[in-house]
Amino acid sequence: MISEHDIRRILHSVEPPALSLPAVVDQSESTYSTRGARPVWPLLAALSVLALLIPVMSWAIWSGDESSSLGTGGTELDTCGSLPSVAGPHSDTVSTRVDVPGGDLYPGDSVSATITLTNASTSAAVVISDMPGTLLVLSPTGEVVGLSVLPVPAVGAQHDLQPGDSAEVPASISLKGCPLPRTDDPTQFDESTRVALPAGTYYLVGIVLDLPSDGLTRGVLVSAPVQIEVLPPR
Amino acid sequence: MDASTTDPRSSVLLTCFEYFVATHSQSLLRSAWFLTGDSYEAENLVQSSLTKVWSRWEHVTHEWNPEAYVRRTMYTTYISAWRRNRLRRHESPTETQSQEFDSASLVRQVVWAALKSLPPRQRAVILLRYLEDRSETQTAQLLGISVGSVKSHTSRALKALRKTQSLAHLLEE
Repeated sequence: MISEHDIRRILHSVEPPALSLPAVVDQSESTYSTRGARPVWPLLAALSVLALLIPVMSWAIWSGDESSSLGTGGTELDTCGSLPSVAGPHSDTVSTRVDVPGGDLYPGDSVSATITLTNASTSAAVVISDMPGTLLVLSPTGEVVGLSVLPVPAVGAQHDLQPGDSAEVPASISLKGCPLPRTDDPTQFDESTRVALPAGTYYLVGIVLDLPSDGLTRGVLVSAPVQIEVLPPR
Repeated sequence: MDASTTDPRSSVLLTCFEYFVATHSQSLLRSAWFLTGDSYEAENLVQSSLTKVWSRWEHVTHEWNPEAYVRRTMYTTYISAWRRNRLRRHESPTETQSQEFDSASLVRQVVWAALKSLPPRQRAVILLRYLEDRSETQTAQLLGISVGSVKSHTSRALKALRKTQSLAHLLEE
């Protein structure tokens, strides 16, 4: 007799035909169309590359030559990369959320947040992260304009998540811009170069690196963005 | 799209939405194909679901797990559309009608033929439970039905699938 296990095995063995979804959103009409629209994949594919770079925080990508500036409220902000894509073995099974405590936020303030990982599948998941939870600050146009303090490799944790379980990963960030490379050693970054973010609307995104047990394929878990308002200096 | 000409708030929402689509569309399309058995209908189903979600995206990102919300929208859209006979005319998918002879296509045809024999809600339950590996509670939440209904739909669907000779033959191979 066909068992539930058999049904699961059969369904997982089926490869649907190639499917694609070129997509674009028409903001003016608040509509979303995926037919006959311009593809966004080239841009997003490029963004996903960063996901591979994030695990080692290859700070070289933010070298002076490659960094760019972004105008926000009349202030030029250095940008440091783009939002990474969710990747890895838990990308479809572990959901990621970031919670930021309420209260007024001012330029340069330190913000503590909690990144919550939830296992939404029916099987256990082990998320091994060899770096602390990381926070990114996105500008209103989606560029990364701030980062958590530089992650320290080999400082992390293992989260054993049974189905439905959640784990909280603490993270903090100063509301400052991107660090710049040190002049004497471009592979290192100088925290003192970070300037306070100007007042305005930003988005915080939580990131937890995911090192699978096979040690081969790094993943990255990325939360949905949470809006924050940075108030004018007191 | 020129971000400088748009509302900044909409711009970041758009960025995040496109990011969500990029990271989840293949998984959504795969589930949609199992629901509809047809590439065109699967793409349309995902598109219409994303259309609905985009209009509430800001609310969704603050109040929901976006992935769960989109899936819930997709499954309920499918069931509602089926009821209105909008998908019924496509229930004989082009893939199964075409003359494809590779083993992957044959497996697709057999599995889809078995799924096609199920009523839409039973099909949805089977896919959520055994393709997406959702628990009974999660399946109930996604479909907006009780856990008891999930159990009864699962039981009936499994009973029907067990009678499908072609699936049994597939397992014997």
